[in-house]
Amino acid sequence: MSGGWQRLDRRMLVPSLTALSLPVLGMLFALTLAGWQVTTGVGVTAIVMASVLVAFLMVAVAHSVRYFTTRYQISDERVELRSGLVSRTHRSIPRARVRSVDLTSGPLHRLLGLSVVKVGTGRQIKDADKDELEFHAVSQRQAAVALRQELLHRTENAGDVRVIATLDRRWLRYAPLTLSTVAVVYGVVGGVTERVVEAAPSLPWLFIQWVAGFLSVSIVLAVLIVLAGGAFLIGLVVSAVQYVEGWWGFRLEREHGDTLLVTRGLITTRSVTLEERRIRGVEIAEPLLVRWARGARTKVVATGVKSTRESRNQDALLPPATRAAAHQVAAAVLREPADPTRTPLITHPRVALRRRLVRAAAGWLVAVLISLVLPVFSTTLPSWLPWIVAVLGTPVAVLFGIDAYRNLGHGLSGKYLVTRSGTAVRRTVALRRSGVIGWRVRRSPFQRRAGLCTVIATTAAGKCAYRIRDVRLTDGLAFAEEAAPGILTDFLSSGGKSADRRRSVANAGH
Amino acid sequence: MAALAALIEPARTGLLVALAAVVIIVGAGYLIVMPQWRYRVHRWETTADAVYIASGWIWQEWHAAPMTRIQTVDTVRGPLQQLFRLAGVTVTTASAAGAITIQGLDRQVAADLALQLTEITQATPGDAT
Repeated sequence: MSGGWQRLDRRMLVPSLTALSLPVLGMLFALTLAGWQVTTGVGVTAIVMASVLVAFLMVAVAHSVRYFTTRYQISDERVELRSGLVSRTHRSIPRARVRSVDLTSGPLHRLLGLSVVKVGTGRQIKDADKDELEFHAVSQRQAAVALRQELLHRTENAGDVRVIATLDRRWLRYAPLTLSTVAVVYGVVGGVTERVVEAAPSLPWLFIQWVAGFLSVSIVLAVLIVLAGGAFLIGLVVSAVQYVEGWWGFRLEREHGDTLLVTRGLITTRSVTLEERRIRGVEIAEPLLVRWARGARTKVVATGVKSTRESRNQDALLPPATRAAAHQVAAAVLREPADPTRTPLITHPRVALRRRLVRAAAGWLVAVLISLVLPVFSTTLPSWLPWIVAVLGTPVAVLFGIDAYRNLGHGLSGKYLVTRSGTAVRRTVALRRSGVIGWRVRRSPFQRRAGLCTVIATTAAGKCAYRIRDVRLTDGLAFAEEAAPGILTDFLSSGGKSADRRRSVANAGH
Repeated sequence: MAALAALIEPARTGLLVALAAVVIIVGAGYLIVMPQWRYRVHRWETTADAVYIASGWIWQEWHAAPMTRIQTVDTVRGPLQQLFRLAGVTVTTASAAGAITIQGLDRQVAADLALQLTEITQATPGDAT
């Protein structure tokens, strides 16, 4: 491996090109559906086809250029990657700074035995791409595994592997409950069904009529039931399929006593490495449905691990699983006897409950207003819809508000600062107190009037900012000073006093 | 706005004028209130151990970053700040949510502050994460 400039695998050209074939095929499919008889004439069709072909060629050329111009080298000191024809880039990372080597193989990559390798330094900077080398792609067996072994483990003893967790079949019952996609699906189904209803009488229409007869309800209600039921069912199926695809063969291992390795995936396989010294804490996330089924997922809070929607599950240590398993893995990863997120937390002042109820009421009002406006656009909706929304929505809003308040909490547990909030997704974060590198105290006008604040711990890991929402100002500042001493000390002795004065003036005004 | 009004049928010009009036009134109110409010809230302080700042107007925030965790210190001067001989000092930490910006300092004060902060942070070992 070491020494000499090497090339990417020649077979990388195949998956790159097939990625493009999808829009072309879709286009051909659409044209076939239209019977190749575009009303504006053959000329337009020819132009469209030609431009698709040109786009195809351009991408083909770009990928070929990438293949022919990319060279990489791993020497004793650095990893280097050169690429580009017109604007050449030469990137190099000192080997001592390599913190992660992540492999991803799509279905075609797997057929061809290829892997996309990302070598990262784990620094959390805005332009993360600049601190990352992407090998797109190299042969799986020789280069990918060798790259990982060689870059992460300077020593040869690869024997020491301890499995922390593997996929438990019983967790599959949480698969349908990870309904994150349901809103999207609902939109699609809703749009399709509307077309279908317009084209009545047809098969779905007969089905709706059957439902209406079976449940002895009006046609309009039957449409609503079928829509909601259909979206829910499709949501269940989609999330179950996603769970199985993403988490099949899941393993969490500790290698060489200092690196965590997550491998998973049915069709696309992914492997993510994480040096333990980057870990700053854990997060237990409980989406509403999963929470009701007594499940949870464990995520890691570590530097250089993005926790955004685009970096799909890069920070996941465990699929949605039983709460006990989630806490067990969290404790094992942190090397603590018990998961700090389990410690009893301090409840927040009652004013915080009022704020949550007000917010829930605002949500209720928006829903009622929408249901009032909707019939203007759609004649199929019944006139009593706003009433149903208003009546059924009231207890739901109140329950959500109370749940949101009950989920608020913060506390200290040994080396960790723990904070919890959220309803749709309840998140409990245990952040290492030594990892707190600053404090922010935020106050909205309403919070200022109620004497509350949101204390935000800034850190170099994960989301970079972890909030303790709606605590009393003095309590929040005292907690921050206790959790990570020294940062606010001078502020509390000077600035804090003037803040108190401002507050007392505000109180006098009442 | 006037050109746009000419393009649209005459019946709608009344509506456009009303809209323009609303925009102008709200905008003027914003221009009068916001800068003064921000100026009154904005405070900064550096001690031997940390940098503090208060900022915002409707939503207000205090922000503290310890000296040991500061990674970079930049002075920023936009064209308007140049005109008024002002400068801002941005202090970043390893957290993407941890940047502190002190706005509208006198250029000399900003330069001295940046120098002082850089000297302190350079004396601190470690990668500040």
